[in-house]
Amino acid sequence: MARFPARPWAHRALGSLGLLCALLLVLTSAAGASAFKAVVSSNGSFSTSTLQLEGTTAGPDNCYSTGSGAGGSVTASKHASVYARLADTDRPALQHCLVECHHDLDIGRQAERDFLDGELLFVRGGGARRF
Amino acid sequence: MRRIGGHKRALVASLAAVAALGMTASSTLGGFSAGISNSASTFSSATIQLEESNGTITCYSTGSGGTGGPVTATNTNTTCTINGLVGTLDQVPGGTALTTTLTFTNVGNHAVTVASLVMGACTQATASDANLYVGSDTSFCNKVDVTIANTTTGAIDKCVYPTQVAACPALANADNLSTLAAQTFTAAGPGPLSVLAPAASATYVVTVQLDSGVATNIDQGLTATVPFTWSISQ
Repeated sequence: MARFPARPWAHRALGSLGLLCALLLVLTSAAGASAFKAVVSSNGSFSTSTLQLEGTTAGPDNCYSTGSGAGGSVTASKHASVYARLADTDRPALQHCLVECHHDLDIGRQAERDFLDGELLFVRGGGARRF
Repeated sequence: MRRIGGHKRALVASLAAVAALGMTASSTLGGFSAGISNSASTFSSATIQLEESNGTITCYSTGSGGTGGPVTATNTNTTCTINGLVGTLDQVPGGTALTTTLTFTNVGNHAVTVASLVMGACTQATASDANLYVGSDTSFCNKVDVTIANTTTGAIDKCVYPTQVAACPALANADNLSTLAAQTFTAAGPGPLSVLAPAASATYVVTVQLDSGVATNIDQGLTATVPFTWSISQ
């Protein structure tokens, strides 16, 4: 009686095929399952405010707490220094006048201001207040 | 030839005899009988329709403007404009917490056994009124504290997030929009959500606040957005 040699590759192939069939069966069963369902989807959003200080002077330069113009990126510094440059012809003695403004989100409602001369506008919530 | 003609006559006579027998059989055979025809036999399916309301806006899973309407294969409304985080602009650290109450009703006629809330990923962008004055924080979602409570009468667990034990704790930075994102809450287990009988409602309260301990200037002018997906099924 003739005996054929064992073929491991054939066994492995058959095993893989069996596994594939089982997986296919599971997948098709899962895909075929259905149920009544009702879904409502919506977005939730949360937004923060902005607090930016603008100093206007008699000269050509306005200053902003961000160190840039209106807008721009805000740093984490709680104490923003605004250097208001006054026009030389108006007040030579105050050529470089320091206006230091403490603006902190935590104490925003009572933001301190200090200025030596010139006009300072404290801008908050879209409004402007002249000191 | 004569023989063929004879056969034809015999065939015709046989057919006539059979026909006659059939006619007499149908008219003479009889008996008692009784029958009922169920012409009103029907088979009907149930309905499951989810209604969401924040007191101002009402959405339906069918996407219709009210109860009823055609149902699509997904029965999913992705255009609901209810803001699960209230959406009021210009929040500040430690400001008054924002609270929204969301009410869900099964306006269908089948009692569901599954309820789930799937949170999407939290993303951030410039606030709509920031005028390009924006903070540089790239982890703004971490700064917004949040809780979700199930205030439905008889709710098994009163809190959905952060814990599923009794009432929700006070707002804390450990529980924020980042840690809430991508989570799924169900009614299994028992879970914190309420399953709904026909016409029954469940109420959830979402509370959010910009954390006063970790938010700084770099969190100015930003908006965090998280998708809420509420579903019920049989």
